[in-house]
Amino acid sequence: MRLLLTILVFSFFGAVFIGCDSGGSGGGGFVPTGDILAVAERAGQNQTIKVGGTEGSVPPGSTVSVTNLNTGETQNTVGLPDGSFDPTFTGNTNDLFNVFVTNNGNVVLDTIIGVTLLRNAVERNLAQLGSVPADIKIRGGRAYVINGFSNNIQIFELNQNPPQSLGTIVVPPGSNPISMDFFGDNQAYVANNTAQSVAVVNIQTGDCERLIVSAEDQGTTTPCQNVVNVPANTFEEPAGVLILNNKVYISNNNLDENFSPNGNGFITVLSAATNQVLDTIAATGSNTTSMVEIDEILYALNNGNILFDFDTFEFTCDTSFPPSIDIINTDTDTVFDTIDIPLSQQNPTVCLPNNLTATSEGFGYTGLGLVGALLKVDLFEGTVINGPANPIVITDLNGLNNTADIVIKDNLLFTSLFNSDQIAVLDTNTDLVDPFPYITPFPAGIRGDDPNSQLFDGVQSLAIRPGDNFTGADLYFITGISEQLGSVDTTLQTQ
Amino acid sequence: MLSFAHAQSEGDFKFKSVNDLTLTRINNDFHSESFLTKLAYDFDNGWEISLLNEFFYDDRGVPGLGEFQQPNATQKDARNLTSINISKEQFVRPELDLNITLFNRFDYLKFTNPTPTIGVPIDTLSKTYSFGINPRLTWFAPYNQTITFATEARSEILRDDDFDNPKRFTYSAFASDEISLFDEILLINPVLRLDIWSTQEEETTTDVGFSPKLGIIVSPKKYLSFKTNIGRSFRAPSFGELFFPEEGFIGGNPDLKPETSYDFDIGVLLSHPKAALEVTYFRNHIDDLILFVFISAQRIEPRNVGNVDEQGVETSLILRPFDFLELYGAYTFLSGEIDETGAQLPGRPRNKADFRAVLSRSIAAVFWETHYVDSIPLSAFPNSKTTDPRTTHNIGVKGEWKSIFASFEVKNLFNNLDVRDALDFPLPGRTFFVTAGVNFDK
Repeated sequence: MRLLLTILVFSFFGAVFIGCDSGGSGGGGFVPTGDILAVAERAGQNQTIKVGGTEGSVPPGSTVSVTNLNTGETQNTVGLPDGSFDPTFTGNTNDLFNVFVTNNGNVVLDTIIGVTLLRNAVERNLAQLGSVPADIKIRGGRAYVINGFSNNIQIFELNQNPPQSLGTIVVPPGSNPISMDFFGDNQAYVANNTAQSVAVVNIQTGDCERLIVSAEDQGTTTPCQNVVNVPANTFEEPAGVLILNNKVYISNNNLDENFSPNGNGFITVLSAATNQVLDTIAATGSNTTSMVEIDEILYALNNGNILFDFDTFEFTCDTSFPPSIDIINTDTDTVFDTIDIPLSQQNPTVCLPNNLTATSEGFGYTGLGLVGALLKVDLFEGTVINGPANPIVITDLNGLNNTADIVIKDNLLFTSLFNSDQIAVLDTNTDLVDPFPYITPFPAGIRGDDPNSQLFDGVQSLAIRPGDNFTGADLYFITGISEQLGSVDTTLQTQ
Repeated sequence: MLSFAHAQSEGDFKFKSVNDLTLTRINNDFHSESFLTKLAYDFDNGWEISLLNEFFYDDRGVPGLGEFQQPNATQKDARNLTSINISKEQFVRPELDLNITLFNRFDYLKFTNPTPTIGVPIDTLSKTYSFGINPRLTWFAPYNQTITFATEARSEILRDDDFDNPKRFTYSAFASDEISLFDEILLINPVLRLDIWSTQEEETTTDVGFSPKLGIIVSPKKYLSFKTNIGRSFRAPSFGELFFPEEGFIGGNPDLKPETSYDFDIGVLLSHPKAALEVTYFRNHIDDLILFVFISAQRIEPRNVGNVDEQGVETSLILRPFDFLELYGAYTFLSGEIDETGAQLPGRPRNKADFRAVLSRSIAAVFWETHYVDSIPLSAFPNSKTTDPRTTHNIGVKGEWKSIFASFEVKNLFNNLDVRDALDFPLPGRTFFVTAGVNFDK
């Protein structure tokens, strides 16, 4: 068996795993509450239609009667303790439904509703991206798409519909930028995975102001205005950027010439003031990529590795490199604890976690490289809640998929499913997938519409538009294969 | 006839990157050698025999993508084609002609990239041997018919460490009847073709393709012809598509089906010694189009991705207002759409136009060419990235005196640095070509 670290992680497809957008707390809740909806995935006949109310929509214990006015079918139920209900019909998405609610003999609701289509909440092909887009970040009303093979960052104005291109920020040829984090109002740090460098770019002017690179790795530096030389081997496949307290944390995959782990990964700490190296934090695992910060504690995910069997043409987890999360004190820049994530013999493809994203309560979720499932970790307690032995399953573990990115807002987690062109939703309060009204994943690409299609868009990185002072889409996504920008109005236009 | 050609270039050139930076295309050097030998003998009794041997070798850098150039990637190709052709007019009977070709071909390809900026080191070597026989019998039958029977048997063997030495045997049978009626006013040409491909690696798969075609030409005047063709054809998947070197993230697909195409065209041809105009409308429907596509986040394979409808118009015009001046213009419009995505067919421009003017006098000729290629979609998705439309101009002079010939040509005269090919690889700016030789055939 020949060792192969999937190129996904590091280059060609790699951007798929590397996209990361910290969800955290955000603007005013967009989760539909108190609304009564009839929801179907897409238009058509014989569709599954759930007619339900979200939390607080009817009095608990009330009598709910839902009638399909086109077929006459009636279903009766009672309001659940949280005030929700969700009878399921099979019908035409043009059908109308009467929802009649009584409580203690009093009519509290008598309304007629049509069917809301999840497919209609998705807009695709909003803009052509560059080659091998790696990640999308949103700040204010602008989206920044990092294009690895185009060596640039596209800027889109989201207050225009469709989003309008405002130009690009260019980094040197051969850089392969794959992630960025904002610093102050004007700057961002960009990790250049192939060029072993970090670029400091001005997001207002579009200039590359500085290139931080060792003399040994310094190639073409145009169009960066200045070069800051750092010691050799400061960066080894830099993959993630997180800025905290005027320090720039750069995670490094640290790979050998075969794209296999060259030992453990590490984190380079730069001064945002001088752009010089302050420290290097040795990781306890391989392939260090994703980082999140909670209360000035840094959690760095060591992805581990996978193998490709050239006889069976199958990918499996590399037990020599199990994943883990290093917990780092950012005052001392030292690892003070590690959460090991043991692999499972029963689930040999549940591994290669990516894009650690955390709730404000300290629960970390990661996507996975080979299957459509999630892992869950209690970052505060240092325990694995759903590890490779018992992942949160979204699509069949027997088939290849890739939960390429995660974003969290309020109690909803959105994860992209790369191979099946979908965006699935999970309620972080209950860890239930497809919570009402998100009765199926959003179909966000060709295979989302036709699971048997030979072509697919590759729904990849996600970003939530923060705030609530806008209308329309609040979730943006990029596709790795068709290289397009798309959006989802996750409110289903209920507000 | 003996011919030797040597070509060599350092190859580095400036080009415009996607970010408007002017970069240097590196590792673009090459040298190639080719030898052509042809021996023919006429026995003066209708029998002729000819031997052809063509050898080609090149060693070149492979610079890769424009924005991610590979400084150390090299490719060596060698090809040797040998064929023996035996023909006999009036074979057995006065109205029969026989033509038999035996051929042998060897292809060698070695690609190495020890330090790719993207992906793992690559070192591949493949050798392909193919040989076969192609007999053809032509019968000048009664009622102005020319009936042709032909067959071809070909065997191909791929030697590659990454494969289990796959083999393919191809058998084709062909029959056509060219019927000339009403003093050549009406020409009808029905064709039947049968292809059988048997591919053997771990398993043996066999595909059969039956391709009927019908061509009709109506020439009511000597200078005016109408023509139409309708038929079906097949394209078997190539060895590269079936057995692409396994790299984990990319590989071949032995389960590919052949592409099937239903083709129709209709056109008009006006011809005169001073001018010629040809306009043709074509419409094709291709089933099971083969493209290399991502099949998952982890892997690329060629797949039969679905059906394509394409239609278009081809036009060409030749004007010879004076003996010393020839003007040529051509325009092709192509609308090709992948059914599943509605996207324009990748790799093909929607509009393409060519212009050429030749001033010739005695032993010398001067020419000017302008080529326009519309933007070319780079993927099978709607709103795909495209190359920029490009216009290039070439100019040159040719001279020939007795058996000596020489030419000087400037390609991309105005040094357009935005020019890219259908795979988005940069093409050179202004380039100079000098050719000189002696033709011993004269």
